Amino acid sequence: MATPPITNQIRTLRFLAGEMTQAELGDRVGVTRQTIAAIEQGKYSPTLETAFRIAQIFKKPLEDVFQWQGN
Amino acid sequence: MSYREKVQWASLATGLLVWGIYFAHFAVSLAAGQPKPGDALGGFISAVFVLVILQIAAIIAIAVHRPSEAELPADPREREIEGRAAVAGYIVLCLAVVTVMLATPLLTVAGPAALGQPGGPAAAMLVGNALLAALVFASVVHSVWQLVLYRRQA
Repeated sequence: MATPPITNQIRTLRFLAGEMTQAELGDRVGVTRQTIAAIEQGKYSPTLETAFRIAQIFKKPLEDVFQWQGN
Repeated sequence: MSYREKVQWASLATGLLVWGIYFAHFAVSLAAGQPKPGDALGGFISAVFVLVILQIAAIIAIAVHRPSEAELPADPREREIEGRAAVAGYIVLCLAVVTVMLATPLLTVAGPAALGQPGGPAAAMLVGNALLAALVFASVVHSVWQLVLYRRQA
């Protein structure tokens, strides 16, 4: 499976949000801890809704959380 | 490992166990040249009953271990994995059913003749079990493909 051309800053943002765990973020977004881990590692591209929910939790604009690396 | 991945492992393991035993018994009765449609039907009903009991028990055991996850609906990644695996399972089912259809002359004429049994009941038993095998195979592909997708993203 090709790696999605999207990087993200979720790990850093979790750290800055008081060492928020993947499980805590998952609970607040409404996805499993495994889904947060897959997004964080770049193995899965989240849906637009999930991406917006994650950005909203960190109080950041979407482009501060996710970056497009494709052509 | 997420709740739904564990459920898939349990579903695959119980399915392989129960249908493996069922088809092994059926193969033995075919090899002995004495397959009985009544026994095959009884075996099928027993297999479905045992499979349902085993899967319910397994899902309850997994849910008790992780009650909070069991109550949640599938998230978008899990729905996507399920959908992609369902497509793979459907394609396999279509191919398997077409294969059974093409093999119908063998199953309805050559099969009963080789067993030395009258065509009607023996042919129905052979065709029925071939269709069941197609369903089981597609179900296994569906489960395995979900597990592959879960593992790739782990």
